[in-house]
Amino acid sequence: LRHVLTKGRFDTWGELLESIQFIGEKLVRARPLELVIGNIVKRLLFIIRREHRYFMKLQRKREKFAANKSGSGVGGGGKFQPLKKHMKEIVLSQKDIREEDETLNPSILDIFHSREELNYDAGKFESKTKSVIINELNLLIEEIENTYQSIEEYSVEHIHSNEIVLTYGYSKTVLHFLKHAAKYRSFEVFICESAPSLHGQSMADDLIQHVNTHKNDKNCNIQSVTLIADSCIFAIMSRVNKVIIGTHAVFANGGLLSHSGTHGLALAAQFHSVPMVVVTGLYKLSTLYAYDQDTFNEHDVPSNLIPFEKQSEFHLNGGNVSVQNPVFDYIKPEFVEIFLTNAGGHAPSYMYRLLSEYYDTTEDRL
Amino acid sequence: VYRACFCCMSSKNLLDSNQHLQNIVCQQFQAHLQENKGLPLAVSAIQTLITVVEQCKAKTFTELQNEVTEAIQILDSQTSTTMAIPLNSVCNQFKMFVFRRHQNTSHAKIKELKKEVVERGRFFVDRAKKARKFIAKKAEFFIRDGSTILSHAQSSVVFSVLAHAKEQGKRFNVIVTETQPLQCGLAAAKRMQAMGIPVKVVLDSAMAVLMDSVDFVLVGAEGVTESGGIINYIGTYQMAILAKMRSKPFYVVAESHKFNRIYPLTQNDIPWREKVVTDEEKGHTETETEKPECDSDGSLVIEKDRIRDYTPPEYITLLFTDLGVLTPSAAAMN
Repeated sequence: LRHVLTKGRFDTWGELLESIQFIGEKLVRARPLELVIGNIVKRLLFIIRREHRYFMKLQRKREKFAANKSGSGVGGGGKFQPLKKHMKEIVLSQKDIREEDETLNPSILDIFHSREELNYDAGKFESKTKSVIINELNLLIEEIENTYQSIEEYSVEHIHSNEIVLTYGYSKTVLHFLKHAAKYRSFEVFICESAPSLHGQSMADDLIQHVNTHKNDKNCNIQSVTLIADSCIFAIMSRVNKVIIGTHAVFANGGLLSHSGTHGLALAAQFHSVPMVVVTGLYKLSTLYAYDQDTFNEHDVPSNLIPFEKQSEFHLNGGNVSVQNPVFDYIKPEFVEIFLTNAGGHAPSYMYRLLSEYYDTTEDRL
Repeated sequence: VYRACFCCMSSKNLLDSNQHLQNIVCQQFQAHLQENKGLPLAVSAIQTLITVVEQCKAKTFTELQNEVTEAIQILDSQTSTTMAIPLNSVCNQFKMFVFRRHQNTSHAKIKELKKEVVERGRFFVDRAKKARKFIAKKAEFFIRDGSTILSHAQSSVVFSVLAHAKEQGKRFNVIVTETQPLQCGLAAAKRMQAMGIPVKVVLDSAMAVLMDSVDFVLVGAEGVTESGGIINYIGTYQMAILAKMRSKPFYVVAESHKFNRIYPLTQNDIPWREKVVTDEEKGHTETETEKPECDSDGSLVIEKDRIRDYTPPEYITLLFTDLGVLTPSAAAMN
């Protein structure tokens, strides 16, 4: 997207928005379940729209100023120079920016405020503003790259000494989280295998490697790493202090889209009143809603469950038995205790607030 | 706390000069109601209030504010309970807007303020008209092929959502409870049938039994409270509790002008009674309540006067409004 922005020529804001939307739609359609794609595109659109608003406001301010000035001093060419200089000095004050920001996403207080029909084609798109947008985009990229660093800083507050932490499958965020906490705290880790992909095994592998490399320098205080099968989750849940998981995506109501098997984990945690902590970057927060297991789900190849040779051995293919392998689980927001994101820790009921800070809540299309 | 019984808001107490105001308000409101059949009540209310502001001869801001407050009181007293809550919400929003507008901006002249209020009021009317379509578009995503929807009482917003989904070609069927005593569920079902939606009418008491076989519950609201809960026809609370027990999503559709400042703590904190509207000129009392029903030998009275209940936010999954799809905590913030 940055590439498109730098290389493209845009005459009006409308054109810019349309091209970004066009590309975004193509990308999303290519991988519909990678919700992050849609998120980033929407973020960019939000940034563009916000800059557009600032721009329009600035223009209006300038026009007002010009109108005032020209009213007072209908001077000759001599007065022209200082006028231009003054125009340049009219910048948006902090107050203006705050005013615009407040009206960006409608709330009940704006019910009587006219949202000026956003005429994107009106303003001429100057190259200066392009650099502003590219700057913002770079900031966004930086934010995403630094997600691991910003989140792992919270790990020390949330993991206590001699705790037993349970995690599911493979998540880089959780890995960084645990590694960072290991520097300061001593705890045990249980990892669920997450069949059929068995990603949990690679997670255990990585963690053990980390423990081994730091065995002697006291930088890693993980007491033990245990790998368990998914069927044992309920059995050991009573011994676990915390469940820490990553997710594939977060929905607008605070619900999660995680790898299959996590829902069972969430139910077991709720039964034993074990807090479930979700660590995720905010770029995974989507404006969409899911309400049952099928909305955003795909089925993977059954051979991951049972290899094809075995299937024919047990007469499983083509018969009355179907082998299903769903990839994702939808978890309701009530199961999650807290979201640890790069913007701090938040309750699930607060996620909608973060939405309005990063996205346009009224625009339906990408 | 909203004052429940407005009986005898008699014209005797108003001064002569306000008789004029009262006449304007009544006439305008009736006229607007006539022309706005099928549109939300709020539209007529705001149009009336705009006319009041336009025609008011106040010279100071406080006078203007007083006139608006009085006009609202008159509107309140003239309408029956079924209209009371939506009317109250929208009037309060208008009042707040007028007051805040005055505080936020420095209007040197009252004329400017009046002009702006009228302009924004017109914009609001426009918006309210489009609100239902907007909500229908948002809610469409949640209605899937083959789903069974449970609904309660009659709501034009729910109807427009379902009609829109039907137009989009979705296949679904609806179960509506007949909602005694007013039987508005029956009326709603008739409308849906005319639209071609397969609909079934059931007894109110059959809610629990049928809850297992539906996919989700969809109701409208008379008001959305500040706690994020809703006020709706009696039986909605029941349905919400059952839905929660059976883990079925409970969706509410409401336009943003139904958002109210009521914060009920118990069921009695909302105006659940029928209101008695007295008509002084005609010299008799028109009551909206039916006469209390007695059984065959007149010894037992069936209490039918509770017509509204409050559904707390814990039982609501999502609210579809023209401010977007909100969780109850988001609605509470609004």
